[in-house]
Amino acid sequence: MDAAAAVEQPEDLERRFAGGDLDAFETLFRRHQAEVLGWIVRIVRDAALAEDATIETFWRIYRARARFDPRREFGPWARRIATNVAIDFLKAKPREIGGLDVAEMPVDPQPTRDRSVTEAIRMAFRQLPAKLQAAASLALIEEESNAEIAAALGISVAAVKSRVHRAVGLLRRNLRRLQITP
Amino acid sequence: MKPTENELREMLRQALPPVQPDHAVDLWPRMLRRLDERNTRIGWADRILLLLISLGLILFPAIIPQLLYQL
Repeated sequence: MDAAAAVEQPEDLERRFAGGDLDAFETLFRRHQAEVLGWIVRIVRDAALAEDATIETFWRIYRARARFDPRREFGPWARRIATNVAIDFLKAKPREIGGLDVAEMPVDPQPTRDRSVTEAIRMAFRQLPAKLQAAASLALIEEESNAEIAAALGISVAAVKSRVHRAVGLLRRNLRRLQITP
Repeated sequence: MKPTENELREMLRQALPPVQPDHAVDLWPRMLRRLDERNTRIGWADRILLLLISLGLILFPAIIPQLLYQL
């Protein structure tokens, strides 16, 4: 057998994974773990939560293996599942990361850019609905392109722009309520 | 005063700095535990089926010999 034939083709690996081969799944897990974790942490912005979400992502990937088309790339498929998981985690654990409700926050008459203001901005962000928070995190903080966000969310570029626009509107309203200005 | 989008971006970046995940952590052992956990867990549908079969055998014990004969 020549060396070229001995090297496993990516498509073979993905075909074996789709057929339920645990070794192939482990190889894909190790190959894509860092990328998935890195993507999720950009959405949930919490390292421990991102690790849990990464496990959940690969669990969903493993469960959906029969639906995976080995001719398609594994990475973008995994990223899309990871994005859905991250949004589910934001929905399930908003208070764990957030804290008080914006409406419950005491209003400082002369806010300065100190710790409490930073905390208030963070809270205003965490008050956004999960889908808007994910889009805003990727677009406004991480500066990912709209096309990339659209692919990860499984929506159109126009829908991404709409989500970011709505997120900006809500953030402005929340910040105004807290009397926080740039 | 309403912050511009760029000002808003800046405020968010300061309040929510990048989080660095620990890429050195091997998550595969946790993944394996998760797979084992799910494989050994009995689902609700299976539990209900088991309950119905048990109830059937208790209420109609006469079917037991017939079942054994079929086996």
